[in-house]
Amino acid sequence: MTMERLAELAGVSVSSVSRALRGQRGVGPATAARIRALADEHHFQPNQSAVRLRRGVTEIIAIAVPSLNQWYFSELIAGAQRELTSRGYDTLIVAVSGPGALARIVDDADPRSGRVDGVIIVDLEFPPDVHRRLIESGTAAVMTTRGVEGFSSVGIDEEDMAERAVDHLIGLGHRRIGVIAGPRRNSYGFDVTDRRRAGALRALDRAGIELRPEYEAPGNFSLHGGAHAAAQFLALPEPPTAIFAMSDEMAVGAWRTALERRLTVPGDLSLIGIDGHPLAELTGLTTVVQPVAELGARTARLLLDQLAESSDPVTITMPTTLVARTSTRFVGP
Amino acid sequence: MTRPRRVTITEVARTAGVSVATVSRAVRGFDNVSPDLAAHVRAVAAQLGYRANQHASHLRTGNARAVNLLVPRINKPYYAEIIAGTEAALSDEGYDTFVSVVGDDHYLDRALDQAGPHGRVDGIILVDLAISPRIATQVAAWNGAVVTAGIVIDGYPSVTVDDVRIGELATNHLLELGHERIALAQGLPHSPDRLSSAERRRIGFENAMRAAGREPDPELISIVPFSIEGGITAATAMIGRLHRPTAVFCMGDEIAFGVWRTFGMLGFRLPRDCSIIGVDDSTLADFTGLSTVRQPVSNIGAEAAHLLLDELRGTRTVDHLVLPVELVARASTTALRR
Repeated sequence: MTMERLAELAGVSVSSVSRALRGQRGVGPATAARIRALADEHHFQPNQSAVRLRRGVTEIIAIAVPSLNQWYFSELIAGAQRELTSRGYDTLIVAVSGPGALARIVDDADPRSGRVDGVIIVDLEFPPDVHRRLIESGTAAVMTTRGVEGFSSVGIDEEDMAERAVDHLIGLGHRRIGVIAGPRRNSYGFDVTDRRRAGALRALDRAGIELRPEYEAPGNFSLHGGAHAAAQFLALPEPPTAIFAMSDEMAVGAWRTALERRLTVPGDLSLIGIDGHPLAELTGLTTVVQPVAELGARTARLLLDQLAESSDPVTITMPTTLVARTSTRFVGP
Repeated sequence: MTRPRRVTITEVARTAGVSVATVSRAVRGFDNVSPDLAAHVRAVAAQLGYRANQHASHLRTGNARAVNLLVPRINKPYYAEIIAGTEAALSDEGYDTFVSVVGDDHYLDRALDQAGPHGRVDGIILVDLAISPRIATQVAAWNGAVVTAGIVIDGYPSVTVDDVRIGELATNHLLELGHERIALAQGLPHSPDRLSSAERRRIGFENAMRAAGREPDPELISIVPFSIEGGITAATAMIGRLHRPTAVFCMGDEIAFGVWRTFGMLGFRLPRDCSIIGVDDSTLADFTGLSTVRQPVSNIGAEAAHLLLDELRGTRTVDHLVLPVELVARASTTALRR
């Protein structure tokens, strides 16, 4: 006897069976009683995990991230973990590095598997069938990607952040503005680059500035990528006077290229990034700071609140702060 | 009859000359590895007959197929890299990684509580964390596997780097460049009750100084956190000395960046006015031209994972694995100007 077969016999969905056996809300009392009777009748033996399920908790929350050794993700995990630990939960960290791993975390998060109580899904997009499974199984999940139907999210307004960065440069009198972009959509990553680009374009548009194709280069969200992109800009007959890099690491990379060309920052070139990476403070980089650890903590809190009491999905946007340091300069009206 | 031995992700990393995390990303087609490097890694993997174990069975028959990794911090490049290496090696063998950040002395109580024969994890990896006497007997009585990294505890397999050698390599490099007044920015150990890696590096520093006929000057030694802020503190203190140093050995790259920034802001021309060397070989060291002693950070995690899996299989081949380190001389160190 499986939960699937039980669902068939009861004429309900598997998630209803799961909820009924766990004593969760969302199944009418009569239906729940019928499901439990059927389970008894067929000697449905819940496994160890299912026993835990009926108790309602494994006290584990999974966090799925695209990679572990990047500043942004480790900072976010640290924020979430602090919150989870303080509320008595353990953290299962999963680096989702391919479709296999994605399927696995969805299996783990399925209430029927009883492996974890819920999952925080960080910057990952998934195909429609996976989304459907998450919904149908009644999985408790919070995303950092906005607009995933049926799920709460905690995120940053990517467009707004980029728009403010570029507004800062325009406000300082720059008109020739280069943009160092992140990588375009990868198979599992969600598209930060497109959104930040849209924000940058909005700011440029409003100032009546057209983004020249040669003023845009990819930088792979890395120091070396940023350095390489800046080298392309600075080789142009009319190079930009300011650069908006979509991450602090790329901005610092661009800074090194400028120094190698014997240019001064901000004398010859203004630079602004996004993140609030420790490097920005170290180097004096002007940047838009994202509250990464707080974002992690907020996702954890929201997920635990929803486990305690189910509610309609909400979308929370965390505030960001532009911090002006020494890498940007006023060049005249 | 023996089964043909499976090629591990760590062997691919070693042969390709990259980190375990890079192999993991390259083999799985992630785009945060440059195409050339990814092609190189895939070629090495193919040559060795390595197959990524992406679809390993996760049916849990009897054991948990999960490991609890205990670290003092998660959002430090050093620990993030160890976590990534451990996770890559364990997931390659079909094991999940629980990561716990350990703040106090009671961490093992909880970890052991959740372990056990039908518990949540089959084994524990302790990174830079000691087992306090209070809990040692409980740990010994537990029937799961325990492996340590960054610290050696009698009775448990461990992975460390040759920290004494790190201290000697860095100090000898500065001595060979003609420096005599060499300052030490020592990192604060995470486990004060054991001989930590910081203390072992200090022994290496003192060995090298004495071998060159120099007595380390206590005036020029600061003990600071392993962070940029720690480096700023150390550099500020050094400048207040009557005879300021001509070279600084920093026990971590982050400390070195803090020293570098402070000296730079105060108008020192680097490396002419002061040579700086770190330890780790982080991406930023490579990028900024910081001389350093490279330690294979992501492999520390991966090797710890392999040791643990060996314990679980009952096939221990080595008790204490010591990974090699090497000097990487870059632009931040130069010959003393007289």
